[in-house]
Amino acid sequence: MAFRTKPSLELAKKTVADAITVALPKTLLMMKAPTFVSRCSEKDLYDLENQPTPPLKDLIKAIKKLK
Amino acid sequence: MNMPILKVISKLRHLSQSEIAKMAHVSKQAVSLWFQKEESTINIQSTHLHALAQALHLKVDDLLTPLPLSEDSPDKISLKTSLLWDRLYPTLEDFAVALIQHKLKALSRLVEVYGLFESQSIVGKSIWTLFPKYKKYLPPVRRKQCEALWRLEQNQVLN
Repeated sequence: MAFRTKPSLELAKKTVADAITVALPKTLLMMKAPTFVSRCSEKDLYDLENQPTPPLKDLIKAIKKLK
Repeated sequence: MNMPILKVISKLRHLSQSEIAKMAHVSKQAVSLWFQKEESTINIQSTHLHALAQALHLKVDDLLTPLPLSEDSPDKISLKTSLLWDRLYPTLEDFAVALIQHKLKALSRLVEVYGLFESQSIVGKSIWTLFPKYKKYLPPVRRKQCEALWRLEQNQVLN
């Protein structure tokens, strides 16, 4: 089976000769990009909530005892 | 005795070397030598150590136990790189003392690196109350972000 799709970025999908519908690169990119951004945001939120106590806090605590 | 601790105490309590000498019952020259040495621990007679601890109202252990982050660990190097990249303070201990004393440049650097909320968890509420004073030291973009956040927080406190 030979794909005869032209590299068009205008169409979301293209039906090739044997009636198989394939997604074009731009469509794939448009679908993947939001997923990627969303996943990154999730990761950011996770990191924000699970941040370890900065070691600086322990140093300040120890120094305050010497005041 | 642990020297970084004695250096921190002298800065925290604004003690001169001659005052420390009087407290430890040693000569000024001896204390001057302690401060010049690069080693983190120095040998000192137990009678002098006890006298110094007593005068400082501390336990002897407090003068012997190293501070957290005393060695050049990856944590310490990373903190120094992110907070003191321009040598705003010569050591991390000096920076911590400045934060405890609410020095404006130190507070501004902490907020620049960690943000207002994380800084509050490190230093306390003074991060919010002193914001109008130290914000001039923040880089313009960061200052703008923090001002917006500070106004929101103030509105919440007032409501």
